Amino acid sequence: MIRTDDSLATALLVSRLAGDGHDTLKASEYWSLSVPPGDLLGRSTEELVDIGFDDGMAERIAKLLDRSVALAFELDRYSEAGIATVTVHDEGYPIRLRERLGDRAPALLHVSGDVGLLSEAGVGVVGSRGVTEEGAALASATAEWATSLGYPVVSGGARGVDQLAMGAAHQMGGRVVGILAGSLVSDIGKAETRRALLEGNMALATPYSPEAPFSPGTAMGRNKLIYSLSTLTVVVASDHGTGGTWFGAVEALRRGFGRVAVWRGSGEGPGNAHLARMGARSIKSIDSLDELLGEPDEPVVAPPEPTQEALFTG
Amino acid sequence: MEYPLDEAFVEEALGYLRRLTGDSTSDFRDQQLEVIHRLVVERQRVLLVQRTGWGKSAVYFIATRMLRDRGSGPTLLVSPLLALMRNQIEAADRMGVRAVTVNSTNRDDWDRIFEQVASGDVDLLLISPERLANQDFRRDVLPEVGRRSGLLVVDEVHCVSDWGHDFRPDYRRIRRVLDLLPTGVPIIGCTATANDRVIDDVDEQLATDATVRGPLGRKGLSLHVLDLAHPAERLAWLSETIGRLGGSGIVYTLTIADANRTAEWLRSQGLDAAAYHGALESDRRLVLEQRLLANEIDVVVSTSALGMGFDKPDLGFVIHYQAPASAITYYQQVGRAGRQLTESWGVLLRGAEDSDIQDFFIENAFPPADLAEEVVAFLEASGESFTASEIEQRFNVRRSRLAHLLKTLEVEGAVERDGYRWRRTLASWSYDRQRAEQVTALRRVEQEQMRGYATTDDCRMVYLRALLDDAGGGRCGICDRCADGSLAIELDPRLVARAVEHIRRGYLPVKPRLQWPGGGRIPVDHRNEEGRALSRWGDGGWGDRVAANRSSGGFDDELLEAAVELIRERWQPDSFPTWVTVVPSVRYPGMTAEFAARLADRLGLGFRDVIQRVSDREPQSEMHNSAMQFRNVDGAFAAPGPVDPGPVLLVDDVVDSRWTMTSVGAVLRQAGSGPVYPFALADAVGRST
Repeated sequence: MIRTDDSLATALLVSRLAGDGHDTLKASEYWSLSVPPGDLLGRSTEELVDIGFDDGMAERIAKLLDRSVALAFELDRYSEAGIATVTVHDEGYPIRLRERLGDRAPALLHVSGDVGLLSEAGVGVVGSRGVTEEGAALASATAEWATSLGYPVVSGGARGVDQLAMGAAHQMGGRVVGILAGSLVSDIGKAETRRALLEGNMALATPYSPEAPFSPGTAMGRNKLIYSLSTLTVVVASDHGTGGTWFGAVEALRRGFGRVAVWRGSGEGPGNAHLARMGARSIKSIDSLDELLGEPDEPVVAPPEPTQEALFTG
Repeated sequence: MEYPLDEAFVEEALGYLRRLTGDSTSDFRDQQLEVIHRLVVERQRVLLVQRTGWGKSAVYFIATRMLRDRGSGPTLLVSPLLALMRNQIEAADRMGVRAVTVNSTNRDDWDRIFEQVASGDVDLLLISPERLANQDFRRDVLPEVGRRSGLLVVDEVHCVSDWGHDFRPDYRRIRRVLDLLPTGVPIIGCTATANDRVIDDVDEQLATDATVRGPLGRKGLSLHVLDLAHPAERLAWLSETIGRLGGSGIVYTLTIADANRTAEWLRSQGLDAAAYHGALESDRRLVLEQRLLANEIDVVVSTSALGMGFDKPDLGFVIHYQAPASAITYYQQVGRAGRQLTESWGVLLRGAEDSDIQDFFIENAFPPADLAEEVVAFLEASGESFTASEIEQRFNVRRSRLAHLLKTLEVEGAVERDGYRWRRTLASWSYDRQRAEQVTALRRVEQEQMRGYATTDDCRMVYLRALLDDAGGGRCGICDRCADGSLAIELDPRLVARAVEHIRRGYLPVKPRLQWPGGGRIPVDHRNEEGRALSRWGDGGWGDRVAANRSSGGFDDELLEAAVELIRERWQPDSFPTWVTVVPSVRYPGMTAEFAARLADRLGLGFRDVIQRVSDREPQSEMHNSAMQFRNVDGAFAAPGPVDPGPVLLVDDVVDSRWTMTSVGAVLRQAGSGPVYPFALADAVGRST
């Protein structure tokens, strides 16, 4: 991949690789930069102040950009391990993220497998880890149906619904996108996953460092990517008022990250009915997905709403 | 075109130069200031092509100091053979550039070094390209030392080019990292040997802003070529000539065995000589380097391991015992002679075996495509990790070849290390046949150029400069083509005879195998003792005689006497054998047994042909690795009844993998023999017979 200065400067500003002690830019800070990131390269703190940054920000930016040698070695190390680093200035960055998440969109993703899959609007399948037998069957059936219609299945790679859905799609030879909230490095270390990645038809991605461990915060950040990368996300089973599935779906509905559908019927979770009342489309039979998927998938720019985030990200 | 510089900048730089040289009248050479300015002020990427001794290191030391004064992070210098830069580092210290090395031997210091880097107490960090391939180093060291970026120096930068005479896999990583560095990080690549094609390639890899290039020719170096076909003639010539050339120098050989043998010969002729090669401990190498630098040794006989970065301005001579595979490599090596002497010598001795050795290197540079594809497909299908010996057991490939294959595949990004195991990476990969063919074709051209150098009627320096696309300068006036004064001498036949004897007196230990393939230890009382091989296959001494005798159907008396002399006079096994037996041969039935019987007779021992071959196998030379070789002989031999309980001499014609000797030895021990001492006429390990 040919790297432009904008791409490399973006990585320097937001990547947490080679970043101990560096205060990397949050998504909102990155998107509010007034000049192309490549133009910041080679400028001293004073020069950054001259072009309009306040003292604190100027110093932060200068420090972040100063670690280019360390970051170059780190990017190369991960690239060799099969982990690509894709910034908003690189080919392959899914532009849907920016369209739907606005200033919440991560400017950088780490991806293993087929990067191109991220840009193909898929069908999201989400649900809680503890799942009933009916819920499990439903997760697989939804993934199979999406696969038969030619959509990639997008999910979170967690135990329960996520893995059932991804496994079912993979079994059918379908395409799978996993957005991870835990360590990408340990995931791609598993023999089964390696085989699948090498066969193609799979992408695993994370907006976090490739070795960052799972946390409730990373889980929430990951959920918004699933909704925004999918033309429609199906909530198989959700708790009510608790758990990542619930909060993820509520946030997606409220901020318009993407279309949300919720299963109503045998196998549903206690939160499903509530999500329907909050605006999620109800699905009562798998084949009704056809109809929903046929409806237009308009991009929705998220309204700027900086409050309430603390509730989810801790 | 004059490069514009402001006065204050020149003053500042000149001050540092004078502190570096310790001479208040020193001045810059043409273009040194320009390069410093490009790095310090314009923060550009520069390719610097200048002969050794031009002052490339002064450029990056001064640039480092000036960048540090302007708030930059420390310089990262990637260079092979860092130990040799000690003198330069001391000089840099005089002008306030504090340099430290980070390597595998100072791991205990890493934390302290990281702190020094963080607190700004280090101005320059040296690392070797090999370190860049090390996982721990990449994970623990590089992110720490690169946290504040400064100048990046890539020494011997021609190694990044596929089209270089000296492409090094570890430099590929540097190439990729260069792609990941944004504008504004100053980078300098240095080399003393690059032709137009390599320069173009490096320009592209480095995305250089400027290429600064000077003449590469050498004054005062007198180039000579002598054809001396037989190794003994060359040994005799060396011992006769070296003392007359004056000063300390280097003799280059193509193989470690030749380096050892030549150094031994020169010592036996009263010269202070030592062998130097990659298999020596680094401490030992450092000692030899220091002794050579201090002119405390007459001659170091070395493989190409004593190469890049070795900087001795008063090296009196560089002699090649064999011709290297490329004339540019030759130029790089011979160009080390006498940089600051008015007279120095560069002599190429051409031997009959040169082209065979060159061919071997060229033909084995790339692992076979089919094998590479099979191994990758196997790893890919499993998704799991495997040790080298597990892979070896599945494919018929020699251990060293497999190691080379895995290293090549690693560099190409097809496989990766997973601790001590190997697995398929997640990158797509296909064998690049076209590249392999192109590079092999290039190596053939280089080989032809080497031949052309020896046979040219033109000035030898002009010929070498032309290969580097350096058109400047006329005839050197002092080579054996420009001037009279051949270094050919009338060789004393008695001296040549002693050299022949020296070559023949060499022997090789046959080490006992300690483990069966797959890991089981061989019980101590089933193991062989250490044995001996009289010669090395194709060594120009007895090895050639063994080959010739084998095709003519019988081993002659001279070989017999040589074997007797070795066993009786020089080997003297701990408990001397009381009887002799022989390994039954597939290819040459009877011939070895007949020899073993004669040998037993001459040693005054009994000969008993007690080993039988119980199943017919492929010749062992068709099996390419331990696992296969062992499987091929496992159960192939038996002793029909109890044998003599005394120590036994086990004779074979050629030893290779040692599995035959090991299996037969175990059979003998189980049948009741005493200690088993293997003896072979030739050791052919690594060579096809």
